[in-house]
Amino acid sequence: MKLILAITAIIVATNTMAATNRAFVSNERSDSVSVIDILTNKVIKTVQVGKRPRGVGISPDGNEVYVAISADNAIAVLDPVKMEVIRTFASGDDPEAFAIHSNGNLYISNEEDAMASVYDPRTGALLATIDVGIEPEGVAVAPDGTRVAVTSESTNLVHIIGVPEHTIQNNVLVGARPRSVVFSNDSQIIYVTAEIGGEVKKIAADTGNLIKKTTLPDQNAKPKDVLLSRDGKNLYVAGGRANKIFILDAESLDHKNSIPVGKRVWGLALSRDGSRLYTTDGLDHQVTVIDTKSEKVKAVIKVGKFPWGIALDD
Amino acid sequence: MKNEKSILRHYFTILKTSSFVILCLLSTLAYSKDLPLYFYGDMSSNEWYGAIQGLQEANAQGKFLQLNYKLIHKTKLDDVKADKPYAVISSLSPAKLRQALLANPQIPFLNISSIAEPFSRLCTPNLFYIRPHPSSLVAAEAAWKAEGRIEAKAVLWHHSFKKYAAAQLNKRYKKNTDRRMNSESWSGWASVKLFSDTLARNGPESEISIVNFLKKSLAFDGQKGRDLFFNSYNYLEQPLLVIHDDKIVGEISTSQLLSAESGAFSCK
Repeated sequence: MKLILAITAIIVATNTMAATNRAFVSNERSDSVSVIDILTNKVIKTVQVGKRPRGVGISPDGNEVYVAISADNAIAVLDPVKMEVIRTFASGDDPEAFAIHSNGNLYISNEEDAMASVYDPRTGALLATIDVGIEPEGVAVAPDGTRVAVTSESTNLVHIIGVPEHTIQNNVLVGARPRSVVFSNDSQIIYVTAEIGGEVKKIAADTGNLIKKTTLPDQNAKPKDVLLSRDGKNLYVAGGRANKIFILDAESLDHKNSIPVGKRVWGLALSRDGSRLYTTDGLDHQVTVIDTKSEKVKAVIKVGKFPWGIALDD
Repeated sequence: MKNEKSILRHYFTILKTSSFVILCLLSTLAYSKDLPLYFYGDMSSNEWYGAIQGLQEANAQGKFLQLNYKLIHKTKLDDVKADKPYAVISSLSPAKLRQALLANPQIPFLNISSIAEPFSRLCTPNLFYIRPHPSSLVAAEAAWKAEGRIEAKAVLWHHSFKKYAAAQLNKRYKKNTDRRMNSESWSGWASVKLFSDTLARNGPESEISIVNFLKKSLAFDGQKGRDLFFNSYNYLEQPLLVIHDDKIVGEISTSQLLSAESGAFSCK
């Protein structure tokens, strides 16, 4: 038995890549991904991936980087070591964003089809489709893997979907134009940003009941991405045309701090240890790196045109 | 033989009962509240096509909330009092609506007419103007030109507008109708959508009247990038697009243009 366990551990270890310490940034209008060495904060390669890249993510084993190439109706798969596209697979119309389940499956928002789709990226097989509202965008998978949340931007809903049944458990009316969603660490709560009205809502994942809501303290705020700090205590909200990151208390949704970054900040990614927050500042064509302890900007890195999403392999 | 008949009868009863139960359950699950909206205007108009697009999108939300919107074309205004629809969308002259407005104070009338004729300043609480006051358009064009810019036209919507997911709306409309969305069709679309959003938030059985909710709690951006709202004279305050040579050259908000002191909004 011990021998079997040891062999299994070796197999898992060899199949799981050592982290490349790279960030992968989708450049919506350059049709490319900028690869940043996060130890030096320098772009080391720009990879042409396909038309209109937006959502980006790393497989659970770290072996692959996925990029939604929206205008090609596909997902591009990159090798994070070689930094090149190794294959693509069809993903339904206009994939905008996606979230990756711990089992490796991708949950994709198909913006033009009012649909969320589930794909096995290893084979490109379509596993399920779920009817949602118009213009689905934000997707999040609960850490315990039992639910997925999808926002539909034009119908102002967040759909809470059971896994593996892939049926909708709750449809929750939120603020106008919900863009992004994230689960709490215990999978019990979802946080949703609504772009118009500058709102963040905290909702119970099992019932869809509203727990709290807040309006960001800036009339220019058009919140997009939202992330939870690793300790679950802070929410980081990309403020869009407010050109700031808002830090909220995850429990009370009280505003704690705002950090100026570049123009039209949309995408967010957090380092594995939670010490650094990366933002994509679309109108400045840059990524900003923030030290989460001091809450100060550490670096600004120029990338391609209109960076949208960012994922870290660290 | 007697036993076989008895067994068959028994199974038939079970089948009948369980079918009935299943149908009841299905009808409960499928139950949606029907919400009729009446449309007064020309069915070949851009306003009508826009309203149909709005209806489709309203029901794309409604199906998740057990709400089923119906857009019904009408010609007789007397039907409003008789049938009590949830809202009236009208591209008729506001003056024609006077009697129906006064007879149905709890029903919102969403006016999407182009108001080309001399304007009748009806100021009833349940009449809402989706399109700007004509003076607002004139003021927008004058304000634009006063900055030393080229002469341009102010409109509610343009088919090339891309910001704030406008591109997606333009694309959907073109795909469904084979027409470009313009100010008329946008106003038809917006009238249905802002009503459906309001009803979804307020709830069709709420004690708060829809008229009050539209007035005070509208949460609708019209794919124009910010919350739109009805001002104290029930005009929808919204960004206008400035057009030159069929291209968007700027944006200007109606709330920046006219004040109550200008007299444009005073009621008779």
